[in-house]
Amino acid sequence: MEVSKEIKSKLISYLLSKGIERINSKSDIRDKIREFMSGDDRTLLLKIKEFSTLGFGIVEDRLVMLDDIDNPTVTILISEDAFIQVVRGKLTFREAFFYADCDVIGDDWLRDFVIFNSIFEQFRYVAQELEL
Amino acid sequence: MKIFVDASTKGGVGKTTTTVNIARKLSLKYKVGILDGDLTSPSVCKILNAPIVKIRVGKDKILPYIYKDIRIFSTALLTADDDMPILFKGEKKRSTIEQFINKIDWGDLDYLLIDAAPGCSDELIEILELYKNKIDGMIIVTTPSRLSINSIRKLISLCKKKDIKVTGIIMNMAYVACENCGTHNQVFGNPDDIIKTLHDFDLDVLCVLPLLSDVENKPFKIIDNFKWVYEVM
Repeated sequence: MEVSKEIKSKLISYLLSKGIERINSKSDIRDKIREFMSGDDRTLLLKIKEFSTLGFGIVEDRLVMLDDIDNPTVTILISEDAFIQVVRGKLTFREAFFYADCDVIGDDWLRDFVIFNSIFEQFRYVAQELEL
Repeated sequence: MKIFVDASTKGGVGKTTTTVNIARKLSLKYKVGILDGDLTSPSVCKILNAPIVKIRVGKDKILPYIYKDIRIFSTALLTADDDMPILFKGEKKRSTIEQFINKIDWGDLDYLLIDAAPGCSDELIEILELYKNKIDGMIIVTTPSRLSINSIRKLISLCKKKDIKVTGIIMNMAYVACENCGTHNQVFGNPDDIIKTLHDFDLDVLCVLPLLSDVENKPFKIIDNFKWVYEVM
């Protein structure tokens, strides 16, 4: 049975909110966020191509989900296929960036890029727990 | 800070080996950095046998990796995996080079050497555009192969078009010296053909290097051939 776009979107949104809870509970990742991503109004937009757009803000060393971001500091642009491969553990985020359909855009993405792997790893753990 | 681009006519001519030797020689007197401008086949860390380390961040910027007094940044530091293919194209290449130039805290360097991808690559063009008016010179590495003559002409013409000075040519793998009698055997062709081409452009050969064994394991084996760097760079 084909899963509708709406259900997929809800599922991804749930996965990411659970992932963020998990990330915020990990002191080692929060240390990295503080080191690499902290800064005033730093925001991160995750765009799953032709599918959904989700925003995160960074408040001190924690990620928070945001409904709307006008000018994100960094945008991760990833195909649905690559995103699914990452959360299912078939690819790491780094692999998706270097050889799959995934791009990181922004004036200052290099600093954040260093910890994207850790962030997406947590989304993968949540996907595993949810048996997606 | 002086910026030099190390370019080559083709892949496998020893460009990165010469870059790390120039950097090492300069680092004996100056503060030197190498930007590995070959995004998809980065080899600076590999040639230096430098262990890959975790990236560190300074105030707002990423700190370069320091190895043997040389500050280095390379996509190899981002992948942290030798086997990972890097399939960058167009805008992604440009954006990555831009980040390497602007978002790395190179500090108060005296020299930044950019080890470009071979030939008139996308990366080289991006570097020349992004660093417009800031490049002090380009060093071209070649072998004496006849196949390189055309590529040299193209690179020199590119520099002319972009108003970049060609500092000179390094002729690598010019001969193999016989271990017994010392005779020089020109395995890749006659260097004179390249030298004639350079005369057309009023350019000089900075040094002629032999083909040596074990350079990959001992990258600074040829460093004594680079005394000229203090005069021309």
